[in-house]
Amino acid sequence: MTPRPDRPADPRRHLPLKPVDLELLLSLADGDLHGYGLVQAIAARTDGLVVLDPGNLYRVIKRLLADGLVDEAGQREAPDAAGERRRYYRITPLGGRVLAAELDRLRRLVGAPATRAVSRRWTS
Amino acid sequence: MTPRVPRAFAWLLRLFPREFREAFGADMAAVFVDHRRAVRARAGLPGVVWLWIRTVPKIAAAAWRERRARASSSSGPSRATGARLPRLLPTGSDLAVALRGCARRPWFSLVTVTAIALGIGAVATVFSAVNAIVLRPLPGTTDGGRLVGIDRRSPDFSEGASTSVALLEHLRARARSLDGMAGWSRVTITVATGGAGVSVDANIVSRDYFDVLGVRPALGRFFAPAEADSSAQVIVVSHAFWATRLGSDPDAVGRTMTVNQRPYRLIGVAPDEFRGVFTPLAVNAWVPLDAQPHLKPERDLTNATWLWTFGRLRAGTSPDVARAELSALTAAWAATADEPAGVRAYTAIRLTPLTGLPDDARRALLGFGAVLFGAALLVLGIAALNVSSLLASQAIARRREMALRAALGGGRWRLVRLLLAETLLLFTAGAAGGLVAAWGATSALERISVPGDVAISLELSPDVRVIAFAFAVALACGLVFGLGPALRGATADPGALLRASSDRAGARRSRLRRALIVGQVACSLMLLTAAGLFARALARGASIDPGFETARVSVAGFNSESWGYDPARGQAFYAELRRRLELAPGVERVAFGTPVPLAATPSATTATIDREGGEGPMKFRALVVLADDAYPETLGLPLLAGRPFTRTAEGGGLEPVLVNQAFARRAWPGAPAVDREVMLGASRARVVGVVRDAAYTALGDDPAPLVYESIARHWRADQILFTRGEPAATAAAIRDVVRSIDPALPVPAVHTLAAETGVALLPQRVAAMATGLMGLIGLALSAVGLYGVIAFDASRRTREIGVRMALGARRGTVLRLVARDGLMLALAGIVIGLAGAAGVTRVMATWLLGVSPLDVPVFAAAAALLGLVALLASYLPARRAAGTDPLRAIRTE
Repeated sequence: MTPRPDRPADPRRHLPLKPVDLELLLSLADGDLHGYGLVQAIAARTDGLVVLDPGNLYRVIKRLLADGLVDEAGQREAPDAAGERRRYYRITPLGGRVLAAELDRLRRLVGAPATRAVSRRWTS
Repeated sequence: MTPRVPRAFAWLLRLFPREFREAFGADMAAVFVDHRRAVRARAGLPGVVWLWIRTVPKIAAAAWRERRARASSSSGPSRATGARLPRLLPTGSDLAVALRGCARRPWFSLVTVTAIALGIGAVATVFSAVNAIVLRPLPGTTDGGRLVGIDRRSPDFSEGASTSVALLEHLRARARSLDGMAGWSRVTITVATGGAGVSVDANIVSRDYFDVLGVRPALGRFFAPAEADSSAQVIVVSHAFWATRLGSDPDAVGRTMTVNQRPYRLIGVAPDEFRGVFTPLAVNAWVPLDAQPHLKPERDLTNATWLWTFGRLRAGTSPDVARAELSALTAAWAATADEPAGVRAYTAIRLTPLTGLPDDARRALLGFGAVLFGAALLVLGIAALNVSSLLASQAIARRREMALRAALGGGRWRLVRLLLAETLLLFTAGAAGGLVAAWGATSALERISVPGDVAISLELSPDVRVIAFAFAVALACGLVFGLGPALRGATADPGALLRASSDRAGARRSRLRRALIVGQVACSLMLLTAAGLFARALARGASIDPGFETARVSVAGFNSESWGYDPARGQAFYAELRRRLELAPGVERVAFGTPVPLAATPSATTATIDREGGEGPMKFRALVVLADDAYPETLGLPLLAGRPFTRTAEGGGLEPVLVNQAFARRAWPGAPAVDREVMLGASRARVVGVVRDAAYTALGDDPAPLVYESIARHWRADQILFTRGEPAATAAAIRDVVRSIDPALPVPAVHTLAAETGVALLPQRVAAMATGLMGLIGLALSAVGLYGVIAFDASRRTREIGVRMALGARRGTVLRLVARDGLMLALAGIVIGLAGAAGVTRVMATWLLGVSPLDVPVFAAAAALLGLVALLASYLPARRAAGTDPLRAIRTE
């Protein structure tokens, strides 16, 4: 099952994404971010429902790095961290394709007739 | 620029595997620092505290998962991060549910809280007393942590010397490591505010004494570097003196009082909490050193050594630096100053925390406190084991409730949190109860009466440190002893538990509870053994013959200097006192000397004995007691050889001395001692008699070499009057005679020698009381625990017992069946406890007055008492089980 280097890896291998992976990839899709930038972006998008602590944030980053979905983008001065240098991360082309595939999957899930019925029945 | 990582966070990161830390540690820290900065800007310090509280358990959980994932990574791709993060800290709603839960089980809650309160109370009481006496900085001072006692010692630190005024000024002027240095000494004065004079324990102090301590006056002011009005001396009184003698008069400051017959102007009142530098000795007045010629004429303001000193370390200076500097200055001083030969050898300085006790007493008390603290820890251990087994049995009883909660969707962590919240609630309430108990116990301790003419003032009540300590201990116990039952209670598989009847499950848990009971019994036995040993030591102490008569000898202390008498008038007073007392009815013998045996430590000197042949002189330490011609007879000390002193100082020739048997044995083994010559310190003396050994420093010790010097030759203003005769009559006679000589003199306190020497047994009395009380508490707790386990097991076996009885088992058989169980547990505990006690009672040996730490009767009695209590605790549930109606028992589910 090892992906062959001459062919792009199949994004479907990584599906479905864990919610936190999805949030992280989505945040990076808008542009490169450093650690606390990611925490903020995710917290903002989830209305404060998900506030990652450093430990779990980097466990996720470690896994996404290992899977080749994100990559390091070097150290830069961070304007939102008092100008101190921070390591930035960016989404890889594979990561982008996985993200697109996942969003597609979710869109189909949400659009399915059964899902719509549930939604109609339980949302007030 | 990299951000500064908080040390606590760096420490937290060590929980992660090393590779992970090396790859992401700095980034994780950066995220935390950024987050903290944002939170601080938004919510201030409370926000930051909350961030820490939320982050720590999450990081710990993440680290744990990372390690677990790494351990299993060989078996497949890491997918282990999916689990939700557990929340470990109980929330407000957890606490609310827990509170309702505790209120629903009032008896369980009450018993648990009481047990914890007893344990915490014991520990907090001992800690509070130790804290008050030896740990906390002097009450009433400012920034007391920087205050240090400055002792002049011999180079090997084994002996100490007092400091002279000249040395104090030398050190104060040159020491750069100190912000100030003061000296003081004790002096007894007679103060009259209108009517008759009263005897007052005072301190004579350098003028910067209060400034160095950082004490602020409650009224008026303290000593100025130089008084503007030099027409009268000045005096400061304690708050207690102001309240009792001056009627709390706010206008008292500025008034003139008569001190030793001369006018002194009252300039200030010390605050209530300040009790002087040696806090156990009550101090009620302070006078400046310049009053020395009037109040302490036998000393001087140059080279006489009579002061204790202390100083304030300069901020940021370590005690080691200060010690080195002061030692160097003292050595230089000793080399050049015109000092008495005896003190020149004391060239080293020792610094000790200034906590209200002389350092030697502090060390001795610390050791004593450690033993009592150990006993208190045993009580706490028993209480915690007891509570743990209560919680475990609750967990069993509540398995159905927990299973139901789990089945209804309560997550496992939610249940753990709930149980933990209940436990912490119980332990916090227990800590509060324990503090109340400690308050009561310490105020009872403060009222322990100490015979003798030294007024003792103790202030032992818990302070903030003790309160923090009690809650910290309670929470730690709660986590250690509560987490186990909580985890077990919440791990149950709901399905299995809801199906199971209460009958079968939990055999393993029951085993744990049995182990807890065995532990309690063992701890109780150790406590009872300690209590028994102290009680036996107390009894032995009371029956040890100190070597002198105590019941029919009365003792009264005088200090003619404190009445403003000069030495000539003082000598005349003592001679007249003796003459009139010898004529008084009921008084058989009259003697003067000092100190009171066993109540105060005699001074010491070095004895040098010349030896014949090629051997060099022999040197050893000898205690020095001042006595007169009638002293041996009055105290009932037989003179074994030679003659007593004469009434007046014998002129010419060598100084005559008496020695005790121990001295004679040491110096001239197997040969007569009378007429031998001996060097005492720097002067030569001749032995004129040998007196039987008697206990002067401690009961039960081997007698130390001791030499009696003639008080006629070494006259001093403070002397102890010893009279033999019927105590009540003698006391009345002494008071009448003193009043008839000079009606202005304060009436002396008269005690029997037996009462005075009772001080020597104070440690044994306190220890026997404290360990006895703790032993009883431990006994009661473990009896309740044992009863609980046996009763619980018996009730679970109701059905089995019913079947047995239906099949013809007799009452006696059932009784034995149930009671045997409890007795086996108790026996196991007793065996372990005996072994434990044998291992630890050794540390008490110092205070046992020769009772063996392995005293067989005490061990046997403690074991028998525990066995008896265990028998009762097992018999009661057994009897109930034997009374079971077989038919009803079989029908019950």
